[in-house]
Amino acid sequence: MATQFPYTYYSCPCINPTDSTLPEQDDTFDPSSPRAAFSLYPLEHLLYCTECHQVRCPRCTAEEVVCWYCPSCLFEVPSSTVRSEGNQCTRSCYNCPQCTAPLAVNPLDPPESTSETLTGPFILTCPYCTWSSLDIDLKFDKPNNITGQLSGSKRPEPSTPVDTPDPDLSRASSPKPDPKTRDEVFTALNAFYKNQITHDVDAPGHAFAEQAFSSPHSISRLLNLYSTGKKLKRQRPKPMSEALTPADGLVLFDPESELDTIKRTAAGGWEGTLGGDKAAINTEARFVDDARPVASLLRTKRAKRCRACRTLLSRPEPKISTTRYKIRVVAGSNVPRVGLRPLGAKARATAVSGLGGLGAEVPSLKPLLPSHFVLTLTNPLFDAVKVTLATARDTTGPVKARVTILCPAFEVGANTDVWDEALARDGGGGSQGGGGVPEAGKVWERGRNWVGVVVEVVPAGDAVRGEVLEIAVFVRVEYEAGGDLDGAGKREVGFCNPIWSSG
Amino acid sequence: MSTRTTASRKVAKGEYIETDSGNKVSRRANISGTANITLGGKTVIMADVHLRGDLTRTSSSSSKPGADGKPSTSISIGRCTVVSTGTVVKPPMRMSRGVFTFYPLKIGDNVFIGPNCHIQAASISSHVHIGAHAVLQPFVMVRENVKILPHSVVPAGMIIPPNSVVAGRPARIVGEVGEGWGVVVPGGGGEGWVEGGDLRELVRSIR
Repeated sequence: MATQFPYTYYSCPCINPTDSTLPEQDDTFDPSSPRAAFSLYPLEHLLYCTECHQVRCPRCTAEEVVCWYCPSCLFEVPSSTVRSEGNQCTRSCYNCPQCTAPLAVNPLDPPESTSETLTGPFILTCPYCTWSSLDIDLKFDKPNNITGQLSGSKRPEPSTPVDTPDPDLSRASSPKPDPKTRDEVFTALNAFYKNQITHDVDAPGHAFAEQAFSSPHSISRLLNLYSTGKKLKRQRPKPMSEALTPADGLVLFDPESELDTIKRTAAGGWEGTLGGDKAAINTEARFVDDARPVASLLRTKRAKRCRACRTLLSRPEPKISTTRYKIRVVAGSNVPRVGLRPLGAKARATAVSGLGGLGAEVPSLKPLLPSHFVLTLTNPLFDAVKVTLATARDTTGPVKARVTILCPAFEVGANTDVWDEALARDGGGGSQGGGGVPEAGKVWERGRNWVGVVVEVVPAGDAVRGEVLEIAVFVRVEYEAGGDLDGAGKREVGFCNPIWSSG
Repeated sequence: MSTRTTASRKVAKGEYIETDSGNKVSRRANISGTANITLGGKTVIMADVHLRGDLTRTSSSSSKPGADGKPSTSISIGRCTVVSTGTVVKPPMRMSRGVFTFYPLKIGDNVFIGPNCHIQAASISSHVHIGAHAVLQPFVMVRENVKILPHSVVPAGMIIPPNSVVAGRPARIVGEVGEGWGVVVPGGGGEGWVEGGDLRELVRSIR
């Protein structure tokens, strides 16, 4: 995530597994512990469980796939196809093996005039790098159904044929069969051994039958073990036959291909090999010449449930074209939003209008000089809440600073009537305060459902330049839920990490 | 949708010229081919933005000069969209059957385009946030609720699915935006907008 200054992360209660059972337990959250990074999220990634009254982060939600779709052609893929064909698009969506940009299908000879129709052969070209399927000698007759044409075409022979100097190593007797892909070998081996199991399992007492746990034979054998009747004569297990022929999936070590590999590495150098992430998406290829276009991987729409109580927290509409949700309980509409800005600066909104654009007004802290910031809390609830803020006196992290919240306890109004503020704004001066000198114990500014308090930050003398300062703030929210007993008191930890470079 | 009319209401000395439908266009923006540009209202065009409305399909295709005489819309921008400083918005072009042809560019509502971007996309849907210095190569299609991180280069013809975060050179999908993308609590303390949300407050604050 690109950070936008200042940012705010909220801690999820899953940092403390005991929290759900002992809600009143006062555990202190250490934001500098390495484990804390796993439960600090931006507000938009958090959901809220209305049953548990807790924030739920991606770690404490269970996901269910609603539908699969290809990100490139945006067609839905039925789950049966996903099971049979794998997690990839079966149309013509392919990505460049060099740079992962989506490939375009182009005719090899573009027509000169508008009257001509597009004729083959067609090639896949990358609009970002210079790769095209001509690099691996791939051409297509039709511009559509690339997958079908790709699976029909054989893997091309290595472009640099190697003449082996050692006659002992070359096998002149048999013509070299087409090298099988890893998937083909696996399918052949799988079929071979499955066949063995089904044949041998009929023989009772076979060693391999013990591994076929779910077969009816195993169950009857187990029952026989415990029956008091006469003992079954244990037959000697028939020996399993191993894969012997290439048709069974046997792959023999081929010294020729190894020599070939060494030669190609020597000739092509490091540039000729696929490395790092390129090899990760092209698992079978070792050289650049072998890299095949990668079918684009499918994406999913997922529903999310609370892990603790199985309540649905979000459920998108199953159609690909819509982005609406059937159910969506986000944390943003249930926990107060925390923001921070320098005192005196206008809201973040106006920072955009400057010519420098966003981030132009990131201030820097001066060592030993107090700086003031306004911490704003916005209440999304329809009841007024009592808020108590707390922070460590000295921050941990690369920038040491002394932090003081001038007004740690206050009340935030309910998020009720938008018209009140709209009318007040027209009358001029919607928010009260916002002038004078920051004073301890006084709310700096206040609106309909938000309150701004002043935070004083004094960086230590040995502050590191160019580092960022993170301030952890504990937010306790109490509210009276009308007629609802279980929601009367509520604790919630918000960790506000506003960042400014120091020095 | 209303066609942008030049200087419908003169503001005394402001940075922006505000039209009847609430569009704010900087006096320092470079706009060519105004007849081919549509702004949806409450849309901000900042200083040094270059909108190439002069690159239309009819002007470039020599085979049929002036098909019906009426210029086609080459850039259409929706409501509450912000185009930040130094961004170039240019309709996508490709060599099609021996002729260079420009295709219309459509930008949806509540789209934020950061400073110094280069936009040649075919379409950008609503609630999209594009970071600074991003490059959208020709015929990119950006769907709803997408965040493009700063300094990304989105390769030509890429389709960015809804609810994704995109970054890198070339750009690839690096994550998903959360469920709370664009959800804003009304009446925030001076911050009435979030990335991907309703940008009305942001537009109102720019003057």
